[in-house]
Amino acid sequence: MANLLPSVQDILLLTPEIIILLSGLLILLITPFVEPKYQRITPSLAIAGSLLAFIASQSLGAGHRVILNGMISVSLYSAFFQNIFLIVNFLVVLLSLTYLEEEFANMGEYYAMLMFATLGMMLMAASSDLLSIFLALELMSVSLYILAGYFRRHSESNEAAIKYYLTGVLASAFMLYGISLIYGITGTTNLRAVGDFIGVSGSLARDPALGMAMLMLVMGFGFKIAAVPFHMWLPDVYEGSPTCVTAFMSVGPKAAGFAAVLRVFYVGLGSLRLEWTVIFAILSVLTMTTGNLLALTQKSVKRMLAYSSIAHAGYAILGLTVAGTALEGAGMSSLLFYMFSYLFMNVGAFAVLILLRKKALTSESLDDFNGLAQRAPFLAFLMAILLLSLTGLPPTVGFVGKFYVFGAVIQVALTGNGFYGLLAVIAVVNAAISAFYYLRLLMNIYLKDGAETLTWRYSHSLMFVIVFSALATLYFGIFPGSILSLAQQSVKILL
Amino acid sequence: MIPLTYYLGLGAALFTIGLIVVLTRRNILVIFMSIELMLNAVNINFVAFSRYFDHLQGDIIAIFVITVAAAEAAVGWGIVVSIFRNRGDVDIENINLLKW
Repeated sequence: MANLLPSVQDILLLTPEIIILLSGLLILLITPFVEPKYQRITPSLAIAGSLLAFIASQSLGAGHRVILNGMISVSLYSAFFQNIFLIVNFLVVLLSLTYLEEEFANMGEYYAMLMFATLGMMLMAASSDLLSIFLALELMSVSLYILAGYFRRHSESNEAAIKYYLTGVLASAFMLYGISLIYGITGTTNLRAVGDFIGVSGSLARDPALGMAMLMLVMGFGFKIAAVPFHMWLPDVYEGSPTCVTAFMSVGPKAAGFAAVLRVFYVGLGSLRLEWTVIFAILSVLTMTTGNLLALTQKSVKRMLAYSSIAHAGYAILGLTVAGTALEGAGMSSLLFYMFSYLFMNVGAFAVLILLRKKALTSESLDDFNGLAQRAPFLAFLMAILLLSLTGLPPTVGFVGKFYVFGAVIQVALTGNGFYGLLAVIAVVNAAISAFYYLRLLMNIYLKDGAETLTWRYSHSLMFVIVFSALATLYFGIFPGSILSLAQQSVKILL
Repeated sequence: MIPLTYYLGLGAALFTIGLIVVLTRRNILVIFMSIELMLNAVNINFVAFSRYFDHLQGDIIAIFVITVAAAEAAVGWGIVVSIFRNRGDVDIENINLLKW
């Protein structure tokens, strides 16, 4: 217990987190003193903070250091996820700007909560201890509860917040119970130490409580990544929340959840992988199928995207099941790449929804997009790229993401594991089902005639987000190599 | 000395009671109270294990959990207050604008 105080080098490794924290605090501090006509100063601060943190995280280097008494491990793995979160934060701040101004809700608190949620996600990806994972997750979740209910005069937003809150807190309680059991079995909460202890002297046969703890953790994290059957909250919360918050929630917390799940199950409960791969395989089949089938029946585009995000979580869980086999590296890196690919296409699609919307908070139906191509050819083209990417067609990043996840599953199947062959077939069938509802929207845009039913809310920042997302979707679809090799290097520290 | 299993039994019982109440009651205030009950059931586990191992780690975790529970409760009450302002009641059966 000699080195309770962290050294300066250790603190410097946390520069991106500290920048985000400070900019969040600064925003909170100046908000009461900003006059209404200078309202844009707080989002500018948020953008500056996320850009600075992004630069800082690029300059950290490739080393792997465990700091703060084993609570945080700074590595390429955490940096990969942190970059995802910082890009999401940057894009979401940009697309919130005009949306909130129109709702007369452009206040500093919103950006402060966004920064704190990002901080929680960044710490979650870097945590290497069950306690710090829990605390980071709570920082993220509590900020998101507030963001979901940010339009406090809208009943829909209230409802989204209370539903998210109740299920989220319940999930936290389950997760904590699981953590307490693991602590009771192993006497520690550090994931490496837990993994070593279980690997040497623990087994399900000797410790039935271990299975219980694993199930509790699956439930807790399952709520966070919205795996079926723990998904019930998601469509309501996504529909009721402000659309910019939905864009944030559909990418950030999910990626953070997967970052933590990978660490907890692979590092901490690695010797129980035979058990948890089966659990995750079942969850992934349920998640993909339920998400896609329910998305088929939706009239509202926002709700359709909500269900499609459940389905995408299902594909990502496939990567998790491969992580429990001999091809663990391929499984994990495909999961990381999938999270990265999901970021641009989803934020872009939600940005289009913000640009074209009805006056009310509840969102536009599929028919409102009829004939969009005649009225706004450029926007329709960008939306087409994003939808093709969500479907998983080349030459977009969505195709590459699906290709590597499915490829990893098929590789396992080729080693003679028929179970994974079945998984691959189900996944491909699901991708085909998902094509139906994405391409139906595309058909509405291009092939149908329709009158203008939506109000245009054009702004430069919003258009920038859409163009940026569409370009990134294409660029990383054609040149996925750099990100892919980064993902492969990132997971090495877990192996 | 009271054996460890008694504490764990108490924790498990309180957790289960909390869960049952969360799933069956309709008043948000009661649900909030039972969520607190669940979190404190976990605290009993942590403190009991900590005592059993004779180190402080579990006690520290319990303090963190209490802090987090307080922050969560504050946000939760804020949400309930805004619901009450908009609707005039806090019965969860009536919170049904968003479905399917």
